[in-house]
Amino acid sequence: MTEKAHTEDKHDNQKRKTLVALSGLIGATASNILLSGNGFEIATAYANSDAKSRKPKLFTTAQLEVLERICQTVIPKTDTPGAGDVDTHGFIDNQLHHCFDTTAQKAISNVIDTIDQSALARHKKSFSQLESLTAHTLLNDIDLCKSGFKQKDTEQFKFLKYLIVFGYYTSEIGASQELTYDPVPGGFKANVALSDIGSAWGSLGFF
Amino acid sequence: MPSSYINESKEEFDVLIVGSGITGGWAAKEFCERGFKTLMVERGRAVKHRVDYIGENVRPWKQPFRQRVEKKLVDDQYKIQQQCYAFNDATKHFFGNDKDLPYSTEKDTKFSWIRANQLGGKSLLWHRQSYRLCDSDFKANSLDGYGNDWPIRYSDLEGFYSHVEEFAGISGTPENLPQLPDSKFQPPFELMGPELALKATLEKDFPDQKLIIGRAAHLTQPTELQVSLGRVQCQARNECQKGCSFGAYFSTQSSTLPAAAKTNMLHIAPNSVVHSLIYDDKTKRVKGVRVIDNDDLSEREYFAKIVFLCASTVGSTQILLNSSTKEFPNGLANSSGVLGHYLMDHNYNADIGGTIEGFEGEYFKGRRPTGIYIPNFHYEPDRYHSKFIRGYAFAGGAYRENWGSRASEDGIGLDFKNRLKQPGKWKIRLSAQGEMLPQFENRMSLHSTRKDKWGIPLVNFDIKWSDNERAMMRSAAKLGEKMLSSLGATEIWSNVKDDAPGLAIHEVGTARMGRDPKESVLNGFNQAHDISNLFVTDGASFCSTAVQNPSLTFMALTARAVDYAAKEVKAGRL
Repeated sequence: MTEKAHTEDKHDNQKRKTLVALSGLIGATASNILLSGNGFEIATAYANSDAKSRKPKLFTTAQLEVLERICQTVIPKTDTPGAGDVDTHGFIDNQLHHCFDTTAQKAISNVIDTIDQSALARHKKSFSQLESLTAHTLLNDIDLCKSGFKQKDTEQFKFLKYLIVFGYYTSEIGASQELTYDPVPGGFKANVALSDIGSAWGSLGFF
Repeated sequence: MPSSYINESKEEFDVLIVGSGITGGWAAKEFCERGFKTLMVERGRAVKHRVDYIGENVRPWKQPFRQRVEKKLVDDQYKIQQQCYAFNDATKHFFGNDKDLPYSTEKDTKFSWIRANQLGGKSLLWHRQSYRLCDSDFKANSLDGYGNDWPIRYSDLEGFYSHVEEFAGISGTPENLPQLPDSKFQPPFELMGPELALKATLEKDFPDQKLIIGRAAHLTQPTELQVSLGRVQCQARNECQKGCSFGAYFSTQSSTLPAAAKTNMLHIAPNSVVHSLIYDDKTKRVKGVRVIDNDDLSEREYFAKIVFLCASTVGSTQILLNSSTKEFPNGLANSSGVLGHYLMDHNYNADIGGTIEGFEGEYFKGRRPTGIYIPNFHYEPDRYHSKFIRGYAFAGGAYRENWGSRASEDGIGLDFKNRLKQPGKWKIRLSAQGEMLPQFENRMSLHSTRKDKWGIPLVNFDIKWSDNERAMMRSAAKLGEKMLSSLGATEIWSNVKDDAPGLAIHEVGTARMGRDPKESVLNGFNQAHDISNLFVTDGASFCSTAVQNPSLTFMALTARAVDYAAKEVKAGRL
């Protein structure tokens, strides 16, 4: 089976499952009406290319390595992967290149360098080589603007943190494993116990 | 789907409708169902229901920029459109391209013109809030002297509101409020805990401010007819502007187009930019339209016995202004001289918010496609505020903070990740939606020299907020803060912005109705005083903005105008 056929088979399967679930909710006739629509399409328009083979668009390879470590330190691996694990650094490189101006691009490039230089000054190692706890302490310092970091460093770091958070929680892992993703809720129910859902929705804010 | 798409035709249709949005779709359905051979002329491309909703249901991680739009593309083509809240990578193809659709503004003025030039128009992109105007709204101009008196009253429109609501499907609650007549409702969406708390607070401390669930054109309990048209109940995705294959919200594609197509009376001419109307000065009637092809710029004409302009407020008036004749040197059907004047929008410039404690264990399931609504409480002169006339409503809702607004909070690592795994504080937000006074000076006209790529003169806007609108927004911000304070909210803030007109996307006026042909373009049936077989039934016909979102009234006015025109044809008068 080719990769494409396999994907389509999975796609059809998922579509069938969704339709069966929907028939109960809205009736068989109505759910059949939707067969021709995009309501359940699983897009194939974009897929992450292999992170390792991709060339960075903005950063040097060394910067990207530091950024990966920053991502993983800000959102580490728990029972779900961390931000570095899901290529949030690659996402940021791509996103900055396509969706932001040069001022923003420079700010992120700058704060990556600031963090790495600070690691070298404090520990004589690149940030990407630091022990977890040491890396955490350094980022905590820049986040809280202490231990020699300046206001500007912290501002740039907060912007980077925003990109990390955005990239992670819009990734498949972040949105659907770390949080709870519900593409077709079937209706709206207010006043549901939070404990029944278990986590924040990963499917908000995309209208 | 439509009986046929046509390109060239010498045939004289019974009726020609310019535009295919909310208004044009309704005109087509109503005429087709009465047996009129109908031609719908749309300037943009055909958008097929479901098939062309290319952004629908694409997961964020499958989108190259996770729903953001590439900067270069925005800078080149969407500088204006990107100001709209609904503009993103999954909806951008339903917005006009600013590069192809330039317009100008008078010195020291601004206007944000949001465009949706395709089959379905803004019916694909609208926010679906649906409210009837009330009798005081139709009387306001005559009572306080701004603008002209509407030639109709609530009772003229009441039956047509019911007619369009039963077809479109409006969810909401009956409230029996004088300022906001009840619609024919499908079941409402639920209020959330903090919203119910605010409602209780208002009932106790603010007797004039009633909190209700926003009335929205979403099916919550579809009728047999709606299901037969391929529509099913709302799935609470709240991604409506990408297009909805469920047909759960009212749009031309989901609703009026399939109904019209069923009759086999509907013909559609897409990619047909109407340059001007063809007027016969001997018969004093319009004969059809001159069209420039959207793509190859070739010229053609379409003919009909009756013409309905449903091309949007600005679009319809632009066509009239560009159809001058010897008899009408300042725009067709403009013997009054008011064509282009009294342009209005709603003012959305006051926002209020706060934090609510005590609901931490509560959450919700699904994404509600509507919010809360506090109807206008200054709805008649003896209820006016001392600092301004007319009134405003509040729209808003409660929500829980998530990663989107919490990224800048202090913290990193395990603790930070675990915190973002849970929803944050409950917040409540209100935005004022204020009426704009009708003023002669606020106008659109044709640019004296600049033309677009179709050879049509650019629209030039000259519109400003007055002190009345500004005073209203300041007052709204203060009242909103008081209400949230009374609720016991913390971290209360308010902000009065100075956004230019246009962004409410409720532009109305410019070809207003009226009893007197000397001071209005249209009569009480949206029929041009000067030209009996010409009607304008979109927002251009409005005499005042009122406070309510206007789309439901576009529908009702259109259904009423078609009913009238059909009867006039039958009586041999048209």
